[in-house]
Amino acid sequence: MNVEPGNALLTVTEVRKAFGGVQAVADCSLSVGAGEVCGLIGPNGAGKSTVVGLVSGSVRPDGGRVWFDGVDVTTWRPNQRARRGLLRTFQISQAWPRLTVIENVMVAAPGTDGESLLAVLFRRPAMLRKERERWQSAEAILEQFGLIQLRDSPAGILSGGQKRLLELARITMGGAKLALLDEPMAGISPALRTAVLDQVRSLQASGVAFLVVEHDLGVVAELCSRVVVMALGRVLSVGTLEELRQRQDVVDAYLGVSNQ
Amino acid sequence: MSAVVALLAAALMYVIIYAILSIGLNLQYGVTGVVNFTYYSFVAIGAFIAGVTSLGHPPAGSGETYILGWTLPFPIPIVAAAIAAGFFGGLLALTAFRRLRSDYLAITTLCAGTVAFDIVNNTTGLFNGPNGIYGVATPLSGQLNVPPQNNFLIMIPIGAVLLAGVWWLAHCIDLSPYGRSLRAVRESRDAAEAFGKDTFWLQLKVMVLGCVIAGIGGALTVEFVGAFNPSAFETVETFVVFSAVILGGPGNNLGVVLGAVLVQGIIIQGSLYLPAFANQELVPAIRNSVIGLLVILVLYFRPQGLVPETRPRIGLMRGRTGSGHSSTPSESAEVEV
Repeated sequence: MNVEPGNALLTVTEVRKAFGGVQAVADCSLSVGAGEVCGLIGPNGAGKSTVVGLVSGSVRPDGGRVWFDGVDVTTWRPNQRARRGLLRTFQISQAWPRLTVIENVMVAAPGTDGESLLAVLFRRPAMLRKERERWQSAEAILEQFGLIQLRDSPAGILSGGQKRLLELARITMGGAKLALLDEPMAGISPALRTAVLDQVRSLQASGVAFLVVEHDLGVVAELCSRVVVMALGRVLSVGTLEELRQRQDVVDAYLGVSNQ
Repeated sequence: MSAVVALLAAALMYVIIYAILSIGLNLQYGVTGVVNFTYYSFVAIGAFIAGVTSLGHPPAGSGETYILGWTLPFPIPIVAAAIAAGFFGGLLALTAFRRLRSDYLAITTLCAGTVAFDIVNNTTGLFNGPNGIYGVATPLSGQLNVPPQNNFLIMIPIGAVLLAGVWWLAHCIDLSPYGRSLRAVRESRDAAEAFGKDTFWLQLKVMVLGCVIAGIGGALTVEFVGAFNPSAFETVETFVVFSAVILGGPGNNLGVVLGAVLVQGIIIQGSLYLPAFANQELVPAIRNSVIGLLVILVLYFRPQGLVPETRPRIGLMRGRTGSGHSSTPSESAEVEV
């Protein structure tokens, strides 16, 4: 990979991570441009989820650098990266179950206004004004994601697919520049699958870039203009899905099974 | 003043103190999910500090030894108690929250409490060792000329004002983005971090705040009772406050205050007037068993407690927000279901 840090929205160079004796990621470099949807595929154990952790900041690399939005964020914590516009979904949906659906979206609002005692006690009018703006944006987003009827329900009662949509709604509210989707289609119904695909496309149209980890190559083909293939902790190849299907090493490592 | 009134007043004072403690623990456990198994140690810190900042130096030849020995006027000892408890709460949080999560954090707090107990119990120079401090005068009793047996006439109004303040603080937090983010931390710390929340800082602040409230409760205790010693802050005391929060409804201020009324006002105070049978220890033992059994039953059949947590129905703002800024900004977000 000869991507110079700073050219792309996200640039990962030669990151490594071992857990105990297991080298989960041996050498991974990749980049995602602004507004691009990039796929990350590979067999189980290839290190995809670790890469998601390394990019989001929940996993600290043993070596290598991560640049985001022109800054070296390698040592940043997840919340610092999030505030710069790097948001994620989780392999197992992490809705806040006892908060209502609209509260789930409102928590994701950028900035931390109203999160200090000072604001709570002495700047209540300003806090409530801001709160009302947040509520209006959150409601508009729920409308857009078809979750408006569930606005005041606790998020814990949502189905798997609805939780995926809620995660995307949070990403929208959070003003993501880049969203990491960790297996967004895992365990959701066909109808909601279409809804999730549509929402990702419309977010992309509004300028959000994505790095999508997904096993379903149909979804990868539909969404991703470029795909990174990992195997055994290393990047094996990068290209369009069509290009990758022509490469024997990629087919052997991963695609072979799906192509039969 | 008849003896019955005095007894009822004492029960009311204990309920007020426990309501304050429950609100503080609820901020930590109910709202933020921080399991602080040594909550009562911060009550003890408050009690000891309020004591040694108002007692003056120990009388010569009494054999008592404790630090400070100041005679600060009301309400400074209460403020000092709150600050000291908050400081140590912050210290514990700094060490525990950096790396530890949930279960390990709970175990760490338990260990810290044990260490604190042993230090206080075995260091006579600190708070007079196992004998503790005694003879703490009720604030303003000299000026108002109130005899010690009627000190509830002073302490109940002070306690009620502090309870109202603590309630208001917790209520404001509940309805703010701050309270919402704390709940998000409780339900998934990872997701809260992934959406820009500094979970360490949020938990640290709530730990300090809860311990400040514990310190206030401790100060009220020592000023009302007049004495405090290490046997008053064994682990079972934390368990009693936890039981009030769990029975009442974690996450709900009204619930935890009702829990305090139930546990302290009805069960504990009520049991004081049961005739002692068999031996002296039996009634307290049965009392604690009843509380423990109630907690188990509630956790099994009604884990949300007597009064479940409510979430603000922000949706009710809709009608008003559509019409621009005509509505007052204070009311609309505060309607609960």
